[in-house]
Amino acid sequence: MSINPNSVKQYQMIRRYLSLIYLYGFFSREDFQDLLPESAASYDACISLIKDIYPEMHEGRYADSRKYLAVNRKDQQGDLDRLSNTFFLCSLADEELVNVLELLEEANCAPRNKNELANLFDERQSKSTVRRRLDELIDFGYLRQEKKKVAPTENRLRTLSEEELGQLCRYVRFCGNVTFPRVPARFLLRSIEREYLRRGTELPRRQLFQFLHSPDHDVMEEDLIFTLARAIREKRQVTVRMGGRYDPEPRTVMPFRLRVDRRLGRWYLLSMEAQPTIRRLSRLKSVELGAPMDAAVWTALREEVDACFRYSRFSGQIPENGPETVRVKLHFGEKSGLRNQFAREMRGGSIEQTPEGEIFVDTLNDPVELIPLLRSYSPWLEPEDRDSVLAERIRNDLLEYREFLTEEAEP
Amino acid sequence: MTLFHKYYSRKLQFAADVLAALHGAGKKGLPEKTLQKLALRYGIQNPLCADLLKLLADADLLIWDQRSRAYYEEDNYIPPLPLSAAEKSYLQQILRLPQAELFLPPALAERLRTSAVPAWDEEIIQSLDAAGQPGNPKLTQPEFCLLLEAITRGCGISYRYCARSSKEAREGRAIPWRLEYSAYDNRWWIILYVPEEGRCVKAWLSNLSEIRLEFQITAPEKEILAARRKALAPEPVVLRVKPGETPQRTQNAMERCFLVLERQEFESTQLNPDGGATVRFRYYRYEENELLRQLLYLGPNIQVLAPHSLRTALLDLVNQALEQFKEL
Repeated sequence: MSINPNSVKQYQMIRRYLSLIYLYGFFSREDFQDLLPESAASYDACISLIKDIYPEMHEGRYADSRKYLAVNRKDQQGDLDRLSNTFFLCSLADEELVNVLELLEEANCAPRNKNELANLFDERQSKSTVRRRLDELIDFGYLRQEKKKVAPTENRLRTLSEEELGQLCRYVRFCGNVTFPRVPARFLLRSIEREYLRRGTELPRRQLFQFLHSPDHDVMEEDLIFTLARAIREKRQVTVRMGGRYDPEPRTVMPFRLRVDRRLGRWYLLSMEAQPTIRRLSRLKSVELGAPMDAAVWTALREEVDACFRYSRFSGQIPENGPETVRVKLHFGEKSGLRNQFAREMRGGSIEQTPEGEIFVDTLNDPVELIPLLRSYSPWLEPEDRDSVLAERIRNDLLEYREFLTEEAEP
Repeated sequence: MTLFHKYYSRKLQFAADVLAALHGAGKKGLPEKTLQKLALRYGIQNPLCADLLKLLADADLLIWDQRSRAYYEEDNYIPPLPLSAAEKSYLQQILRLPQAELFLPPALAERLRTSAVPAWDEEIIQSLDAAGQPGNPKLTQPEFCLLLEAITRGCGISYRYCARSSKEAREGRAIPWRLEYSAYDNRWWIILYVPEEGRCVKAWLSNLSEIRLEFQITAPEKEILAARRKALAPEPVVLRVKPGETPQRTQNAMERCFLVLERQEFESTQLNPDGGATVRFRYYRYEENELLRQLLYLGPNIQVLAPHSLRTALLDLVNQALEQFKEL
């Protein structure tokens, strides 16, 4: 039987499970217990909810008879993953559902003020409840305040022709995979689908796209992202709680920016704690809005955080002697396509033309951040300073590779 | 506002879908089974679906006819829910993207734009993109829409293209199967099925021009998928994620492995007794060079156990790299 998570806490548990299923694809109960030991007891309850969203989720068995769960990440017919569908799991009481629909029905008849609307429901709902609900609906965007009257919000989708609706639908499907945040794209697509239903036609479902570098796993963090974005916009402090047993105490932080790594789809928070800090969002369990800050203090602290991380991508390291410049010679030779690909994958820095050839130059607080990129092109690069820590780290990695690859592969 | 919000609950969203669908169906109404199918898209199964429909009927929001076992629209019809504030804001955000010019005619984009709704603030979110992003492919918006139309309908196209070996444009006829897009560096490809040759080819989208729909060229999806499968390497790749110094480090390495290799065809994943993991997936042969670079990107904590050919190719690259990085 279907149930609804009745609290954000329960929902957070589900999203942790789903993140793991999404990331690792196939996992047994024992594997979950290894990764999330503190939550093993609720495994069955969470899985029953997850099966609501992924009814085709199937169980298989490993050779050693352990069961595993598997999920198709992408909607087979729609090139959209369904992690965002978990946001629909939020609960709503039956009574409130009917009241909301009736309120929308009345508000759509003609613009009326809140008191007039509240009087219509006098018998079943208190006036204060109706007023509060109207405020919520206005805040949510389903209704709008027009002077003193409450009026329906214009639905632009209704003004589009069939062809225009199709064009918008394709664009939203595309953007839902390549932009951040992503969950609103999935909500928007639902609204477009509903417009198709209203017209008695069907949303075209054929898959159009395949995406590279389009990870979706942080979709589960987007509720936190919305709260943090609001805190930054309103210049407020937040209280954050970290996941895991090592850091259970809540702490107050001043958030200033969100940074997204488009390659891996990871989100980071730039904030001021005891010192300027960069933190992976997936490490946060919850965020609560706190008190507003003095605007002048806020601006000064934000400038300090910005200055600290001007030469950082996602590393929180703040070097005592300032940022370091990395210079690497490029030897792509005739592989011009590969050279162009390297130029596309750089996140920063530049390629300088010198009499000796092209040189990639980048300045970073923590040059170690460049290691994955430089290692992936290492056959065609040459560090100017071979004694640098960066060159030594890449060399050690390559030696480790070679040692393993020259051994006999295990059966 | 938050995204995990009661107004986004599946109950309210499903109810809004039902009311919209009944309006679309008009006097014909909709059979119970059609609405149950709609409910499944939200993960709502019976008896919850039946309970919800009864609730709406009891509140006079729809009509249930026992004889025809169908639902009908009430006279006091509620228009579908409008876009929420988050959806409106998102729409404004995507209308600013350069890709909007490819997908939407300028007049439509202009009509959808409004300054009244704030888009996501770039001051708040910093997106660290790849540096050298090329622009949109050299296709006009109508040509691009023709391609999408052909994929949607499953029909063929004729086009002109430039091959690598020659600067002279040639004629081609094929069925476009998917557009492939790299979200990190904004590159476009097209995967075409050539029925006469029974094979799929992947081409830069910018190399195509003068696209025309050819309705008479068709092929069943099964045939295209079979051609795609032929391009898969015969043996799966088996990787071992080495256990790190701490469980957190192992988890990080695994996460990075899955994110970098996300689009591969994963077959299985297993945690090992030593705390590491074993991962198996299939890859397309024509993407081997990119896969090798991805393996180098991931670092030696991800070990290639099989196939032998991939190990040999990786070793060649490693030896080449060690020449560049050797100590003087």
